[in-house]
Amino acid sequence: MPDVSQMQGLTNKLAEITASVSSFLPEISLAVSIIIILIYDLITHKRQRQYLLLFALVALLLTGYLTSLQWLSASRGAEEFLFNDMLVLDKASIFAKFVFLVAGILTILMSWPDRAHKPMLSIPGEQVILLVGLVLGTFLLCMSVNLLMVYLALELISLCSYILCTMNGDKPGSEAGLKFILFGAVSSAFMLYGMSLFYGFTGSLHINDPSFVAGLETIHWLPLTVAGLLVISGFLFKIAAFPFQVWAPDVYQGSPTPIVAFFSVAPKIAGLFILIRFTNAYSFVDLATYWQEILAAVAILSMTVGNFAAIRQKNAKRMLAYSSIAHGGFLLCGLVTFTDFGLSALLFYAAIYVLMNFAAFLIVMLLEGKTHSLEMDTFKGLGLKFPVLGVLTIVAMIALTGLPPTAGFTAKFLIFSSIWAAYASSAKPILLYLLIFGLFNTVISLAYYLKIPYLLFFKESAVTMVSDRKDYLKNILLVFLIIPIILLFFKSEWLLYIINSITFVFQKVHK
Amino acid sequence: MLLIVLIGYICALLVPVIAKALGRSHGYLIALVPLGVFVYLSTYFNRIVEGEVISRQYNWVPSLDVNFTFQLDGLSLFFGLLISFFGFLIFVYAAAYMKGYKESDKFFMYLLIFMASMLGLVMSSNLIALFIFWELTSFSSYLLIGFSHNAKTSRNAALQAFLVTASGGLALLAGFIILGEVTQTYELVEILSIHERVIDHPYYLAIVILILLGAFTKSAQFPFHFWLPNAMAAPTPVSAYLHSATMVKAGIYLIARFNPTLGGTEIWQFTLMIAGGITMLLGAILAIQHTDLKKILAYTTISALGILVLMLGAGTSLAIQSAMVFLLAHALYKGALFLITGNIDKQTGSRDVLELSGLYKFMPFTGVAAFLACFSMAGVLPFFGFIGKELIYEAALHATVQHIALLVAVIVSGVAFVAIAIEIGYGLFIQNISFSERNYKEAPVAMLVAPVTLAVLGLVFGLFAGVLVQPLLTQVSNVVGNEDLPLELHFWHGFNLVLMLSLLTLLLGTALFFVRKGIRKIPLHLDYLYNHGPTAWYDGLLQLIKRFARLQTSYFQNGYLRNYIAVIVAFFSFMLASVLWQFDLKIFPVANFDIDNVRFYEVIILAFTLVAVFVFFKTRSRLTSIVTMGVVGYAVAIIFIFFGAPDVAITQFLIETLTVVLFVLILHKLPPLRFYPLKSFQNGLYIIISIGFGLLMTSVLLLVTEHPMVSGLKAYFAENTYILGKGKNAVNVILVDFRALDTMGEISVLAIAAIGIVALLKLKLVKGKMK
Repeated sequence: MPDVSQMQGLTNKLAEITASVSSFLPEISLAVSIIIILIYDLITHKRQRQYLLLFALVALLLTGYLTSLQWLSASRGAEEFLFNDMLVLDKASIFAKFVFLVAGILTILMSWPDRAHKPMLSIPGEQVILLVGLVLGTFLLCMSVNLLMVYLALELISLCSYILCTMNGDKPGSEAGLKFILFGAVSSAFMLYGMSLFYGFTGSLHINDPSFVAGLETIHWLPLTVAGLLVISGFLFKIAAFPFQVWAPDVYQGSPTPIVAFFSVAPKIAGLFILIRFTNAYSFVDLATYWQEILAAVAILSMTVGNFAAIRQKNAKRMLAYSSIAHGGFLLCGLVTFTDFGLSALLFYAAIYVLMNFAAFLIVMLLEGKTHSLEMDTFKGLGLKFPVLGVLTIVAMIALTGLPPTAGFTAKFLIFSSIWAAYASSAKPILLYLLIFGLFNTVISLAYYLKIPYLLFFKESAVTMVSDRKDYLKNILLVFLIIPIILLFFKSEWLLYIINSITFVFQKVHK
Repeated sequence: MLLIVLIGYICALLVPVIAKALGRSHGYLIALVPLGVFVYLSTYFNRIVEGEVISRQYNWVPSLDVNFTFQLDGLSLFFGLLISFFGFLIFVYAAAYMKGYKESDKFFMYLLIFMASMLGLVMSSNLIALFIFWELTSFSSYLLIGFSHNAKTSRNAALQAFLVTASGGLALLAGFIILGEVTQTYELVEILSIHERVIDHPYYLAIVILILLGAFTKSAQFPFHFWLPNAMAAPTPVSAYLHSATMVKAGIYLIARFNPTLGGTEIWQFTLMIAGGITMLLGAILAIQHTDLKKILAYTTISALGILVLMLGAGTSLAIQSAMVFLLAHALYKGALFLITGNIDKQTGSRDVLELSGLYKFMPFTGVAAFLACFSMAGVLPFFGFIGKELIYEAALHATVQHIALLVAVIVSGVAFVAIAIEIGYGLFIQNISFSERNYKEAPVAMLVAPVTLAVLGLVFGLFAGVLVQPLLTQVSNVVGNEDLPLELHFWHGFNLVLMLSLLTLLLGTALFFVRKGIRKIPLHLDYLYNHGPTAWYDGLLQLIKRFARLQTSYFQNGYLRNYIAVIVAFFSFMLASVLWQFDLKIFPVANFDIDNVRFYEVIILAFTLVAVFVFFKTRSRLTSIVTMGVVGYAVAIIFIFFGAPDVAITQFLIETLTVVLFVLILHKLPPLRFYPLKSFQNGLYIIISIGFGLLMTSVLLLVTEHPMVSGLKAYFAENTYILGKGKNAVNVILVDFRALDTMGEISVLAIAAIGIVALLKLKLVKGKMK
């Protein structure tokens, strides 16, 4: 028989859950729209499928509206715990949600069917549903502060990704999907094992809880390290960082381009977010020093492995897959500094990365539309035929390399500055190596990013058959992606202003 | 001041429109842009000459101290005037020169972008803004070198030039970031005011090396000089403008700009002098060896850049003054000579000095310009080149260190310059060795204006140096040397040692001209140099990167799942091992072994496990491998029983059984197993990785058991199991009472999974039909 005090506790908890709902509106809107789209897809004819994308777009825009209300009402440094400390709502997570929303909306716009292409309208309803599901997963992951919740959100993302990847039903897609699932399963198993160890150590799953921290402090560093390594393997899988990057090239090559663009951005940033939260909970135990070294090694290896592999690629999507592994390494650099400046740099980089990576995939899509091939050799001479597209490509590639006058430069500059600032104040040699490798990798990346404009402009066209399909929507979309990339170079203050209003609340325990 | 920079970019965007409206002659109209900039900058002349410094700041990212701060002092104005004046002449020239080319509007667009970036570069006094313009000049140079993109050589040259200069640019950025952290500001003016702090700082060496790397790659200093001769694949106006007069001087500008901040130390001085000295001599020697006119000019440019770096390195105020004077002299005659080469190339179709002669008859105006330029280059008396050379000799004589070596080196390069000047002026235009019937025409007027103007200026500046050049150059040297010293320019200093040396140089140079053919025949083992010199290093580096890329892809990304897992396991072990290493712990704590406690039946179980593992590796049948893995699992379960955890053992038994059953169930659906034997090398690698991982995990376990885990949970469950759960087995109570909901959840998950499996098993796949 439960006694009265227990009942009281239960009532309190229920009341808290009900109270949390009002701060959970964006997620609810996503979940509800998934159900609506599912039902609509079930009860309508194939012909009306094109409205599915419209539904999803409206759902994401509505979510965006709700999220912006959250942003406006959230005050600096405030954090609100939801659902019995399962989730946390702070400005950082709202910022991340905007990033994911932008990615989601761009994905939908990229998969928007062309007017001239009616029979190709083959986007199945499941794909739209799973995409919205992915967005929901990233939303939840960036807010999670409970290891169980982390696992659930991560698996939501993973499961949606697996299915989306194999959706084409062709051989490369299936092979990629199988590798994806196997790796995902292995890394999830690692992660769960690590999480259960943490629960054993501390008796708590809430990584922001003082008792969690207190529990960690009593544990010897060795089991802590093993458990920590196990847990982050799940996160590294999502970030596609070394050594969990192997699935990326196959998956990127085998999946539909808009979906890949989303894969390369949103889960990566969500994974980084949870890595930041976890690292912060973890790092004020005496382990910070070599925890930093482990993550720095991961960052260096990700950059190097990604960039060097990208040099040799002939397929544009595979090349971008490796490049996004390298960018994962750069994003990790911001975290490795363990400073506020570094985290701001990371946020800035993440926001710009969304724009430039989507631009890159959009370009690949447009070029593919012209030559019906993803081999980069077929892009020869297209820049002279389509000068506007060519110029936009140059800007996007320069941005990815990190050269002025694009916001890609500002992002890299911030990352490098933050590494140096951290090195100057702590004199840890690993940070110096990080900076050297970062710069070195920028040079390497120059070689393969420039290959595309080089082929577009400097080589004579080899293919005579160039389809003259007009993709007005995609061209306009590309212009709207490139404009902020250039604008935020000149007015990076605008984005920095927003980022500076975010204090990483979860760092408080630190000081 | 922002306007001066912006106008170039804005006009660049307008070029295609103008080109469409005006057709072929749009180049002349665009030439008004640099002219306008020149006139505008000239209005500041008087104020700057009086020592005024004009600066203007436009906020950009104030929170990071990154702003567009523009500053106009002597040095900036000097370069600004040079850039805009040359720009004007080059645009006029190019308007005629580029007539035959397709897409000449793009050419002018790139050229305008370059000019604007260059102006921005010399006027920025914020480090980050400076870097941005720096990279923009590299990028526009890339576009311009690759302009004739049908030729493979020009594509490769463009890429090479860009890779070298942009990499140097990144080193520069790193240097700037460190400098910014040391001084807490990116504003040059503020950095200058605390330059002692920079020089004493432990990072000083790093800053100097990184910044000089940027300058040396841009200014083609040894061992980065190789990109410049290759860049001659660009159309001639580009060579004249970028690769002789302006862009390559950006490195010189940078060194000059940072001389007051970073200079004055031995590291700074010797690095500059050694790099400059080698470059100067190398350029001079290679220039004599070549017969392609453009290559000759490229190598003499390299040599001249070497002289400039050398003089800046020497660091005395006289040396700095001489460097700035020589910079102007060189720009004038070298620009003229490049354009003359362009004329010759255009009219005769050849650039080989062995094929050309007696051109004066056909091209008198070009010829006159060539004579004037060559006199200046050789350093003949009233010309401006003479004043430059005199000052350099004098500076070398009075250098604080190694003045004999300096003097000899400078004279050697001077001699080479004289010989080349004679080769061009006399050999090409006057000497007449007729090969065959020839009939060339003089170049059009538009292509004569620029070379003649430049060549004449070389004479005028020489004659009236005191009036025309002295005031501004005084300011320039003051900025670079960071002290006020008078500069007096005359072409006549009386009969002194320096004049004798000049005469000696002329004589030796003439002698060298006559024996040049013999020298060209001497095998200097240049092939060896080319095969093992910097060009080979560059190619080798590219090859190395490609090879490394291939190697690491074949290791980390070869498509084999087993390999991926090996990489992950190896990485995991490496991280653990490095952590263990850092904490200086015994990797394998033997002391924790308690051999006496091991019981006989435990050994038997272990033996079983080992045998099973061995069989697993040897078997070629799926069924056997599944069964052997089952044996391992059961052995583990039995160990659990021995150590008093029957519930865990039961779970283990169940799971093992279930796995084996599932495996067997799907076994008959799988295609027959094909066995791919591994290479013994790979096999060995995997064995090492596995054993390493096993050992590491064992040692971790042993280490962990040394430190008992204190957890509040243990105590809580021990205390409350009986009181709250009314059970004696704590594990059971936890499962069915404390965490009853979890257990229910697990059961439901299992049930759902089971239903899913049943559904999948019942699914009958028809071949070719997915849905």
